[in-house]
Amino acid sequence: MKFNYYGQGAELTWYSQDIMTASVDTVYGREILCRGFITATQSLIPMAELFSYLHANHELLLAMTCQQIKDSCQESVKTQAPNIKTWINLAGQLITDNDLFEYLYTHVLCSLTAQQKQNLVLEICEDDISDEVVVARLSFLKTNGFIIAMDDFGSGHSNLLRLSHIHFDIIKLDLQLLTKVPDDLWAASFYREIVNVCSSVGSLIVAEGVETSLQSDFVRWAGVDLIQGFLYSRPKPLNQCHF
Amino acid sequence: MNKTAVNKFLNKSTASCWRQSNWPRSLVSQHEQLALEIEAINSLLSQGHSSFIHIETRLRKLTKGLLLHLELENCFLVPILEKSEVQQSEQKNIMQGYLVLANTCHAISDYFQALKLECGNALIGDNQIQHIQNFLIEIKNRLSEESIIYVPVNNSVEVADEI
Repeated sequence: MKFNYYGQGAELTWYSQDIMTASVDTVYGREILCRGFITATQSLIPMAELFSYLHANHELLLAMTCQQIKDSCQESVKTQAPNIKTWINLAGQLITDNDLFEYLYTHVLCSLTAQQKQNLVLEICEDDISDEVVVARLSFLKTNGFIIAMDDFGSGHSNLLRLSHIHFDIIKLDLQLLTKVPDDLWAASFYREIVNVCSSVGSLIVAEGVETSLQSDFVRWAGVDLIQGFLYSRPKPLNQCHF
Repeated sequence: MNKTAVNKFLNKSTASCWRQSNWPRSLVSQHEQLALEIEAINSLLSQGHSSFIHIETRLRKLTKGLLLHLELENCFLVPILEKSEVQQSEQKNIMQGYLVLANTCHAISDYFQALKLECGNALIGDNQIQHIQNFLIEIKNRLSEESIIYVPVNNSVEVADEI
């Protein structure tokens, strides 16, 4: 997807990272990630700069998300992997802004089949769930058959009351919670308690940032359902995915 | 939490050999952290003017951490121990020890929680100090008994340091 980046021609491409079941030998889904390149030099735009640019350009953000959803649905058909769920990040602006949300829903989400909806996981960052409008829209999406995941739980303004009120289908535990686990006993103890808290609201739990076999052992032992991290999968271009 | 049934499904990324597994090193480092926490609680007790409610929070942290540590050992160490050079009788002692210490932890935890509700914000008394110190000694002894199984790990670390 081409766009103008401060006067230079640039391109957004999609990468994907596998999300494994806790039994580790099966892929549950893949998260779609975005990378930006300057077309002339093919140099990578630093992630922080790219996201800052995207978040300041709402129309581009909307177009990107719509395109990601369409492309990943097509890719699922092409790879004949209908049971692999596609995880798409929804930026907070797309939920809070009336026009953006309406466009996203009526032009893309609404036209998906029931099967496509069930194979799509919409991720929203913990900090973007900031007010009642967002809560109402997430509930609306859930009622309409979409799977909703809270992303990066534990790294932002964790609102436990909201966690107990909105029944998120999935909660992704922020990777920073796992950095010192299991060597640091207190970090491990804390992580296990968080898994227990999240289990009590009936959500699937994802451990993000699993990089070592010890961490993999620990999170599975602690009770997480899904695992994401470099130990099992690094982001790769979407068109190179094979299931 | 009884994880016994879970253990048999957790063998995919667990090394089959004692020396190849990373778990012993991780568990040894947890021993050190437990020892530091015990030291910190002893230090608080020696000051003699701590309120019970504050000591109980530190004990709760310790027992939670200790129970987690025991569960991890039970899950990840016991299967590797069976293939190690540690003698059968020692292995048996270690496994029985897990249960004894876990039960002690639960009992102590319940006892001090009940006392906390009774004592309010009162300063900790000599009897209670003695009780806590006995508990801390029991943990230290237990960790020392375990240390025999970590000798191969410590040796390999020393060799690596020399290289």
